[in-house]
Amino acid sequence: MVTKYLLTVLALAVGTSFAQSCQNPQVEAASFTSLDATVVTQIAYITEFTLKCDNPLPENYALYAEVEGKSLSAARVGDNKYQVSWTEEPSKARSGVHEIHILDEEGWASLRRARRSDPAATVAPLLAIQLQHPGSYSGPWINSEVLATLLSIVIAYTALKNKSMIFLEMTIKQRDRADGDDDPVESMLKKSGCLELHYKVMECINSTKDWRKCQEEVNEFRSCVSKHKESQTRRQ
Amino acid sequence: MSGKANKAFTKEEELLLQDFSRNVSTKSSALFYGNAFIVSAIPIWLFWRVHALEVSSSLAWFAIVTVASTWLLALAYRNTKFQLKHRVAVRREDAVAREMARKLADEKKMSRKEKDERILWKKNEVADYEATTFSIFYNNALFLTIVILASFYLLRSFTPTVNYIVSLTVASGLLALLSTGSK
Repeated sequence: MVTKYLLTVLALAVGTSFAQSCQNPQVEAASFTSLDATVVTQIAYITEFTLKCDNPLPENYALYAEVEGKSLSAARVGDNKYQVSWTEEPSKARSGVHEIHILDEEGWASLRRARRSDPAATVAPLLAIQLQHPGSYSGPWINSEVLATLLSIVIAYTALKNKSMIFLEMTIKQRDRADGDDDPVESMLKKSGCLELHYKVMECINSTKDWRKCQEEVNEFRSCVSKHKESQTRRQ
Repeated sequence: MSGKANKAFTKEEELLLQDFSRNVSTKSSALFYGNAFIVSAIPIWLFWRVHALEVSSSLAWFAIVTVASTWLLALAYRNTKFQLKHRVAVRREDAVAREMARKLADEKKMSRKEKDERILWKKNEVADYEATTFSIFYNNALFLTIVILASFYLLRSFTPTVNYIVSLTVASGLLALLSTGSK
């Protein structure tokens, strides 16, 4: 008697559960994700969907959702209309497709049961919604002031380098010229030690413009050169 | 350089003096002051839009700092140009002399002295132009860098008004000071 009663209860239960769960579910979903991460602290994902079943659904037909291991409950926002939403840290929010598994009460219970023994277990969901997140804008790659600083440093470096190049070229050129001016006569006179007297002669000629007025300097210079020659021949 | 001294000098000597003098012509002076003014006024935009400096209450500061910075920058331009002119002249003189000699080769009537004078004049002109433009570029580049570094990094924690006054005067003052050095 008792068993018979139990059986009928079971049959009833099975019957009601069949009647309650959605047959041949069809879904129409719209979604929203935050695209600008510069003004928000959390990235929001919202999807709203309308569920259509072949059989009429009970008044308080609860749905649950699971997104990448996160358990959520779908909020009923209207007739057969549900909403699932969650937030993520901007650094953890990845772009691309996020799959939302929707389960009814029964599926949810079996999932919990399966999870108890195996944390990685999955149960075929009632339906799956794909939410596309194109990625959110978290500001420009490079800060504008850093960019301005870098550019100005590059320009200043160019200016400094060019300036030092102009200075350097000048010194090289001057040295070249100084080397070029070092003519053999002067270097010989330098060796003999009569260069100073030679300059005196040149100075005198330049100022007086007359050879005759510089006899004294010329004679001094001549004696210096001959002295040097003598000393050289003696050494040899 | 003064009018009295000029009387005693020949034309060549005058040219030479002009070549070596620190004075600049009215044209390049106008160029220097105009440029210095523009460069000194541009940071107003930076401080107004980026550093959120209240414009109406700091108009007086804008005027004072812009004038001071214009004067200092023009001084820096002038000094840098003076330093650079002879170096540029040395750098360019061979090329200018060659070009002028080629240009003047056809003119048989012209005396040797006249040709030399023309070459000297051309050298002076080329060196003057190059030194002027480079001096403006050089000082502007350094001014920009110093203003940006000072306003964004060194004086970040100060109020925008202090930031504006200090960064502009420091930038232009530093350039003017550096330009007075011998190297």
